[in-house]
This record gives sequence, structure tokens and C-alpha cells, in this order.
Amino acid sequence: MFRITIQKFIFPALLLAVFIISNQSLQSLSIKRQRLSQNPHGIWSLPPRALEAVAGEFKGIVSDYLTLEIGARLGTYVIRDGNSFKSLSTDHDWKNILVLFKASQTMDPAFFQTFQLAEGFLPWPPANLVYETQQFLQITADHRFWDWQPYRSMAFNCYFFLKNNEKASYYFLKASKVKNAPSFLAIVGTRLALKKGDIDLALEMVNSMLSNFPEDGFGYQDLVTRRIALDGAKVLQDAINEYKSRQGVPPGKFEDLLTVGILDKIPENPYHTDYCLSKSGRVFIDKLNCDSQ
Amino acid sequence: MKNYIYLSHIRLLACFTFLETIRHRALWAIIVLAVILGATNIFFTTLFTWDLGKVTIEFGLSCIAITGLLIVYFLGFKVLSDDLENGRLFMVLSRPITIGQYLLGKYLGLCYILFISSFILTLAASTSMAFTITSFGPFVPPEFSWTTFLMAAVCQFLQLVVLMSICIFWFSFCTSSFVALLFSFGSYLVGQNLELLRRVVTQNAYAGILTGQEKFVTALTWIFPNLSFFDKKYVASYGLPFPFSEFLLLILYAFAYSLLIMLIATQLYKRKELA
Repeated sequence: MFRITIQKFIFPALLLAVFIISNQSLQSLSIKRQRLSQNPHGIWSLPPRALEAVAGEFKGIVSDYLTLEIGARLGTYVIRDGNSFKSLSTDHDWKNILVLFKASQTMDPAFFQTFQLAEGFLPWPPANLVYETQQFLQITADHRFWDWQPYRSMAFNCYFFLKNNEKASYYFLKASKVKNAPSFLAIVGTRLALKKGDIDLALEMVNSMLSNFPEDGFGYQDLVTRRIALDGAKVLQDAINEYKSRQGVPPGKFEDLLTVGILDKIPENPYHTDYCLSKSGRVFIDKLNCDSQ
Repeated sequence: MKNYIYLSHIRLLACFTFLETIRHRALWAIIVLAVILGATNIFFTTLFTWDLGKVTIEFGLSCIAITGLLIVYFLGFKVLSDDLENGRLFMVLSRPITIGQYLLGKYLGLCYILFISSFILTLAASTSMAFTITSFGPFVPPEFSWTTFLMAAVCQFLQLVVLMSICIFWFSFCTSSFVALLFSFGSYLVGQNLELLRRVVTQNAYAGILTGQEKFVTALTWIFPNLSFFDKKYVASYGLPFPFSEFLLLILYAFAYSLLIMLIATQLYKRKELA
């Protein structure tokens, strides 16, 4: 009787208890690990070439999976709280998340989703991985040669995080040279180049955009207007440099250039405003950023 | 007349192999799995926010590859080993049929199965892709072309054809079909990574024990099939240029390599202890 009780009830009950306890413990352990967002699975830490070898012909799908994995790690962590849910703040190990990003990029260097996720998280606080993001974006830009957006993001990072207008305008120039790039890239790039005082770079940017831009395309007229303004600024800047070499100091106003006979007339500004001359002798196409320099 | 009889034997064997394989439940299980995978494509793709066109094309072609591999490794070996285990091979060879005809017939029958299943899978993948592409037009690569996709699908099929010949090669002299399966899978892995290995050795001064072994690696590229040549998923999914001349070269490569391997397999099979 006792033996039958053990066989039929106690033993299955014991097995069930062991199963419930082990399953519950493993699940909580897994949730805890997920919350910590710590080490990526060991395999993703392998060198890029080894990862390529492991993925074989399924690199693209592996990259897709990794991108989803990164998105899940970076997303808000939600737990049930009675009948409702509450979100918890999660500490991310950014170095390990960068490893995952790199692994995904190794598998598919042109994947837009990976690049957008990287740009959306890595250069910003608390990750602050600006230089790593720039390297990451450069690889994407090399492979997505038909897309202007990686260069646009690189330009933004230079302007916003690195405070390097020269580099920013350089990347805007790169972006504007991509086929079908929108005209605003050259406009923004020229503004940054002018801010730095590089009219030649700004002109190069606009000319390169105009060279393969359809005349009936949206934004064509904006580019033509910007080129006229830059041509005028270039004439004025050259004249100011000439004035400085003669007089040793920059002119106080544009009319001084007429007085000494370097120019016959001041070029017309197509934006219906005056060109601006900064105290240091640099020409701007409007007053924005001019008086402070 | 002699040639006609020779070819008709091969054709008959190919037809029998095709009919025999098509009756296998495993084949239908694989095809059902493939159709489910095709349907999953729509669900999987919508998990992403950008580049949905790339994801759906890549997923579709990967489905073709996975299913093809399952057919080659499970069904192909089953059909080959069944003949030996059930003694059907002796019945065939007791007739005026040579080992070469037998192997070529089997190979062509299995290739026909691969063709039919690849065709169904391409159709399933195309349907789900067409849905994604029409629903999420702005996320489709600007230069995407259905022609490139179809060429990539054909390349996927060619890879399976080459793999099938390698399976027959290993089967022709291995004593156990399991060992042959392991060797075939190993050849697949080597074939997939040959290009990578070549790059690592030729472009890297620190390639471990392979440093300076360019000749050895080059020799390997002439022995094993370079299966990464046939992997055009990346090209199709981003709409990159895929020259027709390259496509033709791939067809020639697959055709020549498979037939060469089949010739060697025939010689080896003649020496195999069948009883």
C-alpha cells in the first residue's frame, strides 16, 4: 500500500516540485541577466572574420536577428505590477552593446536599421561613444554608397557632439555628392563651411550638388540662389584679403573697398539682406553668427 | 543508337529516383516547413522599421537555402542509402546498366527534386516579398530588381546542385552513410568559407598557422567548391549590380564542377565493397 502511494503520488509530486522550482529559478535568473543587459552571448565577442565563418551564407539573417536583439536590449524594460505594468530603468553595458552592434555590422555592413539604432543610442549620453559611432558610420557609408544618410549622421555628430564645423561641412559635402541627395544638405553644409570661414568649400559643395541636380527638381532654385550668394561672398572675401595685404588691417565696412578702388560695386545679396563683415575680416551671407566673430 | 540507349537508361533512373523521392513523407514535411517559413517572412519583416525590402528578400532566399540543404542532407542521403540497404542496387546493376549511369541517373533525379522544391520556394518567397514590397514601398532598395532576385534564386539552386554532387562523391567510397553525411556537411562549411579563408591568408600578416600558406589555400580553392560564389543574397537584397556574364560563369562553374565530381565518384563507386 505504502509502495503504491509512493509510486503513484509522492514520486510524481516530487518530480513536479523539482520541475517547478528549477524552471522558476532558471526563469528568474534569465530575467535578472536580461535586466542587467550584461555580456552579450560569447559567440558575438568572436573576431569579425570568425563570426563570418560561423554564419556562413546566412550572414544577412544573423545580422537581422542581432539587430532585433540589440533593439530588445535597448528598449524599455517593463514588469507586471498587479494588474498594470511599470517600466524600470535599466543599466546598459555600452561596451558590450557596441560589440553586438559591430557583430551585426560585420554580418551586414549596409543594414540601415543597425546604423539608425547605433546613431540613435551610441553617441548620446549615457553611452557617449561618439568616436566609435563615427567609425561605425564610416563603414556603413562605404557600403551604402547609394545613400546620403550615413554621411548626414556623421556630419551631425561632428557638429553637435564634437563641435567641429569643418569636419561637419566636409561630411555634408560627401552626403550632398550622393546621387539623389536632397538640396538642404548643401545649404546646411555651406552654412557650416561659412561659419568656419571656408567659402571655397561652401562653393564646391553647392556646385557639386548643382552639377547633377535636375533643373526642375525640388530645391534647385534654392541651390542657385545659394550659389549666387556665395559667389558674392567670395568676391568680397578676396577683396578684403587684398585690402588687408595693402593696408595691414581689415576694412571696417564694405564701402572701404570701393574707396580704395579694389571693387567697383558691392555684389547684390540674393537673400535681400546685406552681406555681413565680421570684426576679424570674414564675410558672411547674413548677420547670423557674423557679429560675434 | 548506343548513345540513345545510354541516355535513356539515365533518364529512366532519374525518373524513378524522382518518383521515389516524391513519395517520401519527409519531402512533403520539408515543403510544408518551407511554405510556413515563407508565410513567416511577412511577420518577421514587419518586426523591423527600416530596410524592410532587404529583410524580406534576404529571408526569402535564406528559406530557399535552408530547405534545399535539408533536402540534400536528409532526403538525398536517404534515397542513396536505401538503395544499398534494401538491395535494390543489385537489382539495377544486374541489368545492362553501368555504375556511371546509375549514379548519374540518381543525381539527375535528385536535382529534379531540388529544382521543383526550389521553384515552389521561390514562388512562396516571391508572394510574401511582393506583399511586403507593395505595402512598404519606401523601404525597398532603390535599385531592387526582380530579375536580380530570380538570378540569385537560380544561384541558390546551383549551389544545391553542386552540394548534391559532393554528397554522391562522399557516398561513393564511405562505408557508412552517416560518415558520408558528416564529410558532406564539412565540405559545405569549407566551401562556404573558402573565400573568407583566402582573404584572411592573403590580406593578413598574422593568420596563425596559415601565415604564408597562400599556395596551400589556393590549392584548396581548386579542390573544394567555392560555394560563397553562389551566395547572392546581399546583392539581391540591396539591388546591387549582378552582371549577366558573372551569372553565366556561375552556371558553367556549377555544371563543370558537378560533372567532374560525378566522374570521380563513378570511379570510386566501382571500387566500393557493395556486398
